[in-house]
Amino acid sequence: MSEILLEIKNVSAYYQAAGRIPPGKGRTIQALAGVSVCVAKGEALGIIGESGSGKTTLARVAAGLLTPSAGDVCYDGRKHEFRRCQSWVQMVFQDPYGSLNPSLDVEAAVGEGLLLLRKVSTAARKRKVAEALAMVGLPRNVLDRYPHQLSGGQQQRVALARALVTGPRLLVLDEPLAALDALSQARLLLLLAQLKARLNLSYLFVSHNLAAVRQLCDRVGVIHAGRLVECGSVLQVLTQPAHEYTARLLEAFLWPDPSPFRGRAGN
Amino acid sequence: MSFRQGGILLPAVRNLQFALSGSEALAIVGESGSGKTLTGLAVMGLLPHGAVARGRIYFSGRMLVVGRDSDWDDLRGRSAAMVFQNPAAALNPVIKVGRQVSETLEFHYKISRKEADTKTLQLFSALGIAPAGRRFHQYPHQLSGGLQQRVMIAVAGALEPPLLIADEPTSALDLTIQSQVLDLLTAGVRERGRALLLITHDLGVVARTADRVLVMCAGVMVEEAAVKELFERACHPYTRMLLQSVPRLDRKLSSKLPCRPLNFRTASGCPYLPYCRRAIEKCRQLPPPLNISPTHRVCCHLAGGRRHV
Amino acid sequence: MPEGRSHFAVGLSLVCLLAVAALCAPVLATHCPYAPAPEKSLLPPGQEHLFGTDRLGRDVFSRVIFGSRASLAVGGLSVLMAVGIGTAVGATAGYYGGVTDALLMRLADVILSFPSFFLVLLMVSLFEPHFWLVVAVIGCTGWPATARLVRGEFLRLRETDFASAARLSGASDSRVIIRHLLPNALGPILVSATVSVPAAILTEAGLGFLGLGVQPPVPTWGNMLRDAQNYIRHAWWYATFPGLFIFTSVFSFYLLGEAMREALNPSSGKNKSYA
Repeated sequence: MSEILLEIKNVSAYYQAAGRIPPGKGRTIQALAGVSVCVAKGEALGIIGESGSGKTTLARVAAGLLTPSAGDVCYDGRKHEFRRCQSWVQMVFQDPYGSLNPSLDVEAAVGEGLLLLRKVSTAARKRKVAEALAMVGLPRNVLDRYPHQLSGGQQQRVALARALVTGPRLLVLDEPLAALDALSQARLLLLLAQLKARLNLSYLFVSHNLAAVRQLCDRVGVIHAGRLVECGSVLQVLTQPAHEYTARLLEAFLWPDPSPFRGRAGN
Repeated sequence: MSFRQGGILLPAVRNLQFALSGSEALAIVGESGSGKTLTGLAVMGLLPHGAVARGRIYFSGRMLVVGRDSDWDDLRGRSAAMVFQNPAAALNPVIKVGRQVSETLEFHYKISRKEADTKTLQLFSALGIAPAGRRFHQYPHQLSGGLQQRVMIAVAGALEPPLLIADEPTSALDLTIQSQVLDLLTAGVRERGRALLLITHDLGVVARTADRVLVMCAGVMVEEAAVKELFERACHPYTRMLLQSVPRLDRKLSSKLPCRPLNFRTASGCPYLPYCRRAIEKCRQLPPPLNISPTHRVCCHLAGGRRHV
Repeated sequence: MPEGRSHFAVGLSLVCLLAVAALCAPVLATHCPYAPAPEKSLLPPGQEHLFGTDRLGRDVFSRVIFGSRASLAVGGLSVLMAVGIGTAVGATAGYYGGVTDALLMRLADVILSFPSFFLVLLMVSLFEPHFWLVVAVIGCTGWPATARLVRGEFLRLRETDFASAARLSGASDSRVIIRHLLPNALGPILVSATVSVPAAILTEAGLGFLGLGVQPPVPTWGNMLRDAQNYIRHAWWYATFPGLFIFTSVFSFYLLGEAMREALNPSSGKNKSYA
């Protein structure tokens, strides 16, 4: 936990409330209120929160897709232009189908970053794309497929390959499991853990799935109504929650195990 | 009350057979595409156009023929009702939520609007839709997802149907809301002697809510057991893999999951055949359900020796 | 949907037929469309003259065929221009939003609020009526509809995750717009282009009828109708055949456009899959 890769300092973000008439007048919604988190090299930070808590906004701020209204985002210890470290910050989105351009085949989608950020020649690009696909466990024959010809799990792997192909150091994962089946979820989780160890990647893993965060992350932050209410090591937060909201989340967790809940043994 | 269903829709669902009695919650578990939603729709007589289905369903001793729409006419709403995954889409957006419930009451019980409204308010407070008086006059989009799902349960439960079918009732909801809604559904089972058919892919939901579980894979039932028995002594290799794949808070995920993309066989034979380590020649034919205990049946040729009492 | 498919087939084949007629006019025409032959004035349809002759003894069939060149060219080119401008304006407005969007869309509203046919009339009467002027004027007044449509599509598309992903892959704004978003808006643009062709053809015919379109002796369906209006009682064929061609072309483009809209509309399309 030495080198700090990403530091988010006191960030706030506002949204204009949509659908108000007349538009532009009045209500703004605060999505983030003074949130500070940091991710060290090789570390996975989980962010747990419910819908509307601001966790997706935090992910977009971290990936440089959203400029916060207040606060600083520092990459690699310095607050410099996002564009300059763009090649080592990548993101995987919640909806695998929506995050792939329906009119580009897999090779073009994955190769885009290499072409634009690394200026790699066509031949080398082909090789690197194939490598990235192999890394996420996809067969070569998906290269010329289009997103709608792939299953949800495969689409999410393509999105992961696209994020990995430029050799990033930090991956922002915004609910990457939410749209997948139980089995695909488990397999993607295992893959993410394996890639993290192999490539010494850092993750900012945003999720509402406590168990998935437990599997993948070293530290976890709990976000509620735009504020970071608790942050600490995964084991500590999930076994001895300090904040009342964290405790409530843990209590609501649905254990995949009938015994602790039912008095009617054996039925 | 019992259901019997035989051979609906090949290849979406094959030879499914199960029974469900009052004050019991049965969960149907499976991946997407396993035919679990279709099964729920078949029980409600709501099969989509183009579905070819055969089979019979016995409802309180009455035989209903799958695919004959008229058999269900007086059943829906009064005897069986359904809660859908997305309450925002299932509620009428231009009618106040209170009226959506009270209109049903008015129509079915032939009571005055005032009486129906009073009953609805009672129902709302019983389901934790608070403050009931204000919520009554709101439109669906003004309610949060959790409240919408409660209203949906109120609509479905308004006529006190003995059977409630819930298709992924909590997958669109937040964690803290999920357990509240599930408790509401189980309360109907415990307190009113209702039968609940819960369709889900989430084993956490199953563990919290169901008495019995039926596991489906690629349109066939692979295992059915009392919930405790299934979690502790699963026999079918598919069920075991499913259980292994759930991330838990108390231990790390097993890395022994199959790494090839899962593409289960739907034509004939055991759907898990391509992935099963112990598969034998006989597995090319789907085995009949084998009772290994009074509350546990499994469709696997290799489960014979694992009989337990 | 067999009905939609047959609409598409009929529409497409009629449009193709008209296009072939326009392209191969010199081959298909049986007579010279310009050479007057006063002795053969106003002959009814017969073996020699399929659609009869006009007041100057010119073959109506050949003139209708040659007329389809001007009519379809005006229709096609002006729509191409309108869709081009509309797509550029709509994409810019939708992608950038904010002030850019407000300014561009108010401009579109201003143009939409003019009765465009009278604007066209004004322009044509101020300047010499000429093929390219007619194209330019119809093109410049027709773009706001496309712009609105494209803006709506871009408002939706710019929020998609794949647009964000493209930005993360280092794509510039123009690359995101052209390579990532535009291909996904092509369907609606194509439909809107197809259904605007008949409007352009009708405008051209209207101008021709008022004598303000492409000028005689070049035949267009519009100026043929203008010629025919005094003879409608004595020579039914004189006005009927140009009119029939206007009707057919408008009808077939609408049919084609509607069939395409139907095919692209997700709610009327394929069956949903059930889990």
